[in-house]
Amino acid sequence: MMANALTDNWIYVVVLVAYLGLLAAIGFALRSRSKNAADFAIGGRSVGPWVTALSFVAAYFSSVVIIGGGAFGWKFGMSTLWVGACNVLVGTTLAWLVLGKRIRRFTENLDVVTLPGFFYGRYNSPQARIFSATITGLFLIIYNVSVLKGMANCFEVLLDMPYWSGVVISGAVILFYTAMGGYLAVVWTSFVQGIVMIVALTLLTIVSLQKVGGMSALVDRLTTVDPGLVNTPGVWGWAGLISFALIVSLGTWGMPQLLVRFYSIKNDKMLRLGVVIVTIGASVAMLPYLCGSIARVLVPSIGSPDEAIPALTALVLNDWGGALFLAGVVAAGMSTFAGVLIIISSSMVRDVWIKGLGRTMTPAAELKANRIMSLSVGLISLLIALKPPALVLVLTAFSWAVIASTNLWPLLFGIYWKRTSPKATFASMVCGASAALIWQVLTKFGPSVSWIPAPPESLRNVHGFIIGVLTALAVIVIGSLLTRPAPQENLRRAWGEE
Amino acid sequence: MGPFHIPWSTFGAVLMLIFAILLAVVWAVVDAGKDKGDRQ
Repeated sequence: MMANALTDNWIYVVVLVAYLGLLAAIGFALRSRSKNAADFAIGGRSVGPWVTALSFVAAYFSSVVIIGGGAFGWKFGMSTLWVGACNVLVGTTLAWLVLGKRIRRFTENLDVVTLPGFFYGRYNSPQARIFSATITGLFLIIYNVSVLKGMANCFEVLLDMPYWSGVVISGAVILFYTAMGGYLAVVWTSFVQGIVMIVALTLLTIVSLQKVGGMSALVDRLTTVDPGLVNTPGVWGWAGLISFALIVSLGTWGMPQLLVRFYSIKNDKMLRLGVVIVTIGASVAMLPYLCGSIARVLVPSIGSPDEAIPALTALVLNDWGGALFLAGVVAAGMSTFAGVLIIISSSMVRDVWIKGLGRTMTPAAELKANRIMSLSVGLISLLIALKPPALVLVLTAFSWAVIASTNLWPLLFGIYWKRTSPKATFASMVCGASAALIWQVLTKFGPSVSWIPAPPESLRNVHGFIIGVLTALAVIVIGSLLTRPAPQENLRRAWGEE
Repeated sequence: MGPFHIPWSTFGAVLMLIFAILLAVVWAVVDAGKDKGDRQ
C-alpha cells in the first residue's frame, strides 16, 4: 500500500524528500557550531533579524493553526479575519515591542538561557524555577503530540500513506536536526520553513481567490449562503470570537518557545529591524482564515471543517502546488515541534537537573545531556503520537492555557515592576495553572460526570485560559503588595545597575 | 459597506493589520532615534 502511495504521488515525494533532506543537511552543517549548552539553548545570542523574525513566525503558526484556522474560516466565515489580525497586532507586534528589548537585556544581565532560569535570577525563587520548568515541560509534550499528529494527518490525507509512517518520517527528521545542531539548527531550519509557509499560503490564497472570482464575488457568494458569514461577529458571536482571539494572541506572551527568540537576537538594532520583518511576515496569519472562507464557497460539502484546507488545496492547485503546500504545512509543524524540543530539554537539564537537584556537570556533559534529553523527549512525543489519546486536541487547549497562566504575569511584571515579589510570583504560578486546569476539567466533564460539579451554563463557553490568566493576575498583584520584593542584589543585576 | 463589498465591521480586521505594520515601522524609527540621542 505504501509503495503504491509513493509511486502514485511521485511529485509530492520528490518535493518532500528534497525539502526534508535540506533540513537534515542544515542540522548536520551546524552540528559543530553548538559548542556548549548556551549555544545549544539560545545559539550564543548571535542570531540576526531576518532569521529571528521568520523563525518566530514559523514557530508561532503551527500546522494546527493552518488546518484549524481554515476550519474556523469555513465554519464561521470572514469574521475570523479578526483572529488573524489579533495574531499580528497582539501576538506579534505588541509582544515584540513590550517584551523583546527588555527580555533580551534582562536575560543577558542575569546570564540565563531559559525562562525558568530567568525566574530564579529575577526573583531568587527556586520554587518558581522548578514549577515553571516542570509545568512547561509536561504540557509542551502534550502540545508536541498534537503538532506531530497534525503533520501525520496531512501525509495520510494528501499522500494516502499510513498514519504511522507520517509520524515516523516527520519525527525522525526533526529529532535528527535538533539533536545535531541545537538551537541554531532550529532557528535556521525555521527560517527556511517560515519562507516555505509564507510562499505556500500566499500561493493557495491567490489561486483560490482567482477560482472564486475575486474578493467581491467571494463576499457576494458567502452572503447568499448566510449573511452571518461576512458580518462581525456573525455566526460566531462576540464571546467565542473574543476569547479565541485572546487565547491565540495573548497566550503567546507566555510561551517559552517564542520568547526564546528574544534572548538570542544579536542586539537592539537587530531587534528594531526584526519588529518590522516579523509584523509583515506574521500577516500570513490572516490567510488560513480567508482560505477557509473561500473553501466554504468552493467545497461546501466536506466531512469535517478540518478538511477545508486540504480539500481546497486538492481542488485549486496542481500536484506541484499541492506538494509545495504540503511542504508548507509540514514546515509549520516541524518548526514548532523542534522549537518546543529545545525548550523542554534545556529547561529539564539546566533548571531541574543541575540547578533544581544540585547536580554538577561539565559544559561538555551538559551539552551531551541536552542532546540526549531532546532525543528522549522527542521519542516520547513520537510514541504517544503513534497512538494519540482521543482527548489530544482538548489537551492542546489545556496545555496553552496552563503554560500561559503559569508564565505570563511573572514574566511581564518581572521586567516592568520591581515590587513584584517572589512569594506572589510562585503563588500566581500555582493558582493560575490550577485554576486553568480545574476550570477546564469542570467545563469538560462536569455536565456528563455526576460527581464533578458543572459551572453555570452561561459560563461554560468561557475558556480555562481566561480563568487561569485572570486568577494569576489577581494573585500576583495583591500578593506583591502584601509581601516583600526580591532581594536588592537580584533587582540590581536584572536591571543592569551594577 | 467597505471595499470589495466587505462590511466595515469585518474590514476593520484589515485596518488593524495595517495599523500593526505602521506601529512597527514608527516604533523602530523612534527607538533608533532615542538610542542615537542616548549615545550622543
